[in-house]
Amino acid sequence: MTDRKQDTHDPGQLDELFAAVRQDVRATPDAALMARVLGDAVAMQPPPAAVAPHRAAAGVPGAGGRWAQFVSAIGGWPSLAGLGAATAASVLAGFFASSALLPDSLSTLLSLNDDSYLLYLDQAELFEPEEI
Amino acid sequence: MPYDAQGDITDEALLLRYANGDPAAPAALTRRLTPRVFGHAYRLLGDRAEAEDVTQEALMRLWKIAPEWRRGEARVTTWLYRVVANLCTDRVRRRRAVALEAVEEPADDTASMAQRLQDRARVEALGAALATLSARQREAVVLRHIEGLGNPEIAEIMQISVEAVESLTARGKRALAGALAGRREELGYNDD
Repeated sequence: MTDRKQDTHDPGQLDELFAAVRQDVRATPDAALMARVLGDAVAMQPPPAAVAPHRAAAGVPGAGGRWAQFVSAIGGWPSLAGLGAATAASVLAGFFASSALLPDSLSTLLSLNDDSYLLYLDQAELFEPEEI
Repeated sequence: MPYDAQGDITDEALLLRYANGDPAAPAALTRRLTPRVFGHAYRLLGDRAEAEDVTQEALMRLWKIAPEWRRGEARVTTWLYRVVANLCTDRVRRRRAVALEAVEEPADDTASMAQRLQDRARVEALGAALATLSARQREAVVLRHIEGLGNPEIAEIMQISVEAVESLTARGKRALAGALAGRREELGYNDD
């Protein structure tokens, strides 16, 4: 092998040279380069919000997807709270409604017996317009 | 305490934190990776200005790819060494010759002037000898004997077999020895 003819060096001397190169201060970055690299890193870092689509894809509620679109569409969380309060009030009104809360005419109608109801219908017919 | 001071977080974990918007990650990654990237680029190119450009470009590519980084596929440093080698190869092709510029060296009070001059002469000599190697031999020798990596990782970086790495480094060392053969006295190896 022709390469073997050149293999007459002292391996220790070459190792010394390698060690000297490892300690060469010129192979150390200066502060200006460190600052430039850090500036790039900060400028190019994705914002924390950019990870939301990953959570949405994983099915985590509140981070995205249809639920988030719905909340957004109705005007955000304040609107959702208002919608919930209105729904609760309606349910309560249904449970606890009494005759005192109803208009007089409707309350009277609900309290009549069968005869009164028929009489009421007969009277109503008196006011129907005649056929032309 | 900063991440890099603890040393218990892998480069990959830190990169994932960077991609997730952790505000402490950019500084930690910069402190941890820039010296390695710059040192390697400088040893391949022998020129600080060009090594700085390569360092900034290689790390910008890392910042860019961070959100799509595939966990466990490759070590961050392995990926970076590969990118640095490609960028350096492009530059060497463009200028056709490696220039070893003399850069002002910071004062070192612990070493004597004579010792510093000799160390510098040795570094210059090895730099010049490295420049005579082929790009692949130089990359393999620098990764093995200066960066201190193992042959399997070098094989992964250079995308060749471990046997090919062994062959490249062996031939590279022989070529270095040949290039330095006439400079033993100049480099202070005849002192007894």
